[in-house]
Amino acid sequence: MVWTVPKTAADGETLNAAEYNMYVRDNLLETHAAKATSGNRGAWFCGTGPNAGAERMCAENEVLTSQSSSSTSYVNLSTVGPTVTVNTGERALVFLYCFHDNSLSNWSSYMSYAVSGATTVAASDDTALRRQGNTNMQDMTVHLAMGLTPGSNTFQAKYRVAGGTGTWAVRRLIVMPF
Amino acid sequence: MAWTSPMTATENTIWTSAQWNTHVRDNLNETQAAKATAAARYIVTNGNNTLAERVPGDAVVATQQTTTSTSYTNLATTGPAVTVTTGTKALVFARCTFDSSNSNSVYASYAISGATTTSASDNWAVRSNDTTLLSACSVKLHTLNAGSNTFTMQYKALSTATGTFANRRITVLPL
Repeated sequence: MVWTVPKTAADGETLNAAEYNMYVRDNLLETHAAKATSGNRGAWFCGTGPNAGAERMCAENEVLTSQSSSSTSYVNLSTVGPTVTVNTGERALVFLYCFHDNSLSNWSSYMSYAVSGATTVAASDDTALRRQGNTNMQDMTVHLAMGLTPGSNTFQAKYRVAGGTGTWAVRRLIVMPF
Repeated sequence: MAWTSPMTATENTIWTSAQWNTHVRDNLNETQAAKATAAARYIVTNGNNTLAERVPGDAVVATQQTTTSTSYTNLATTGPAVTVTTGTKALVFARCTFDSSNSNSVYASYAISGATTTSASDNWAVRSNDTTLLSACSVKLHTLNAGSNTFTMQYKALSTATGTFANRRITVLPL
């Protein structure tokens, strides 16, 4: 079914079955209420193109375990993740949150994310939550991921340090797909 | 009014008022435009073919206050607190400017009351053991009991620390 711009009625005309089906039935089937068939609560409706839309749902994953790494390139920790898989359009709002610190006062620890599935994007300092020094911090950052390939996309947290040993705990990743 | 999958019309059948009421009127009353009662609100699903309007909430307490409590507690000025009508989820942000008097950590989190009861937790707190003033924000997608839920910030400090907290803000996007 597709959306068709509703016709303008004129006095004396009869509404035939084909017109009802096109302008009433099919257009109603493109509304948010019609698209809400998953039983989900709290999903919103996003355009997928002119006069078309789909349901989108916020998703979260967390790994509370405290783990460490001294890798200077982005890697998984002993417990991989957190990881979120959602259906997205071309954009998604990505939240990263964790407790982190570094064993050395002059070096930074980073938590970023990679994307796989319909889209492939490597973890980057540009989207990372970063903490320098050996005082700890529990904080978040947010990034609007753009240029995604619509479809099923998996977002997974990755970690690195510039030097020293980083420690991360209460690791959370939330994705709001558009 | 509830949503019904729109009927398929066939030629030369008479369209009754009951069909109009069910397939046009009641269905149109389940659309976003029908559910939108005011500006700056958004519409989310509330089950199969059912929509609900949600209103985001925000509250702030700018006043700088301290605590030495090692368990989550209110400061001299309680809060901030936000009460919103939620479905089974809400995205919650809690932020403040804070520091510790020594190298022990201080925390700002929030408790949930109303339709849902959840104590403040380190798992959605902002936290640091830095003695230099800084700002931080936490984020958590909560699973809740649908209804009126209140989110109230609370604070603690480990061991011998005095935590100082200011510009305390909580923002809730009910889903």
